[in-house]
Amino acid sequence: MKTNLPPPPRDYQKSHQLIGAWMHKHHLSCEHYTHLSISAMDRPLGISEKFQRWIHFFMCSVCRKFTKQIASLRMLVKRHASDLATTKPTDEFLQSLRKELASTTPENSSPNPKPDNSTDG
Amino acid sequence: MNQESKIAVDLFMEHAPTLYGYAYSRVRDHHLAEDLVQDTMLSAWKSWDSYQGGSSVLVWLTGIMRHKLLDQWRSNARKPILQHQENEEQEANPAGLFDEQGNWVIDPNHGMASMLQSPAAAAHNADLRKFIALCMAKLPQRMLLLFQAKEVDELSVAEAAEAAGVTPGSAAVLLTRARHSLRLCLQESLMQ
Repeated sequence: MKTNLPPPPRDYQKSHQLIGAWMHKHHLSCEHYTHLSISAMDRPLGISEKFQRWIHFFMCSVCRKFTKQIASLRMLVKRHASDLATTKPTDEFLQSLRKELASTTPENSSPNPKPDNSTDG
Repeated sequence: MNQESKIAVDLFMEHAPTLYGYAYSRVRDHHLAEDLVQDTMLSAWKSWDSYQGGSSVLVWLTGIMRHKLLDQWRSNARKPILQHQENEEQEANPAGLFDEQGNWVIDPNHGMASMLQSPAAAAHNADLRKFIALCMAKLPQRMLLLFQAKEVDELSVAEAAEAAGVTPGSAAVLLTRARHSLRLCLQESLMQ
């Protein structure tokens, strides 16, 4: 993947060079943490997953910030969709749609079926 | 046209603007949105009998529209240009973000101050709102359909998977990719 993004902060590089292998071995790596954090938005995590996630959360400030980002992302996406959803149709379109509905008979009944199907007794 | 039919038409037409907004937020094209609304309203109109009550008419109409959206997407997907997009889904995983031990190789927070304050602040940020529109437009269509069903319509993963015509298993993978892709796209946009 081509990206022009800078490497993580120096103190992150130092600390993670030291403990990276250990974290990787115990499923506590940043990659695993981000995967769990994102998955947690779609499904409940298992007990060991929760445990792995919380251990990493306390150890890694870079990933703590990442968690904030994906929460912001969720809100941003919702906001964007609700902005778009305020787009209004044109009057011409509404009028032609109304005409079309009016000229089409509902297959079986209208929402308030007429009672005159029954014979008058 | 009798009075009762007129009332029924009025009842339907009340929801047309909301449905249109929904359609437009998904397809981002006025003609496609009009087609969707028309298609949805007419087929709903013809099948009033299948409306069970229970949910509101708008919820019922929106459900019908979701099916139409998938149909529309499927008929578009047969065109070769969009088929190509579909293939790109496979490469949208976050390769290149982590080294073999799972450590970050990039700084995911560089330039992301506006995403780090609070979700509400991010949602108000004009730059972010501009970029999220561009970034979402870059997602492959099926991934976007799925992602919106999950995040915007707040369907369960299983329901969203159905709405996008994928299995629940691949839905989980696609949703993860979508979030990684969007976050990365925002970061790259903010750095330019």
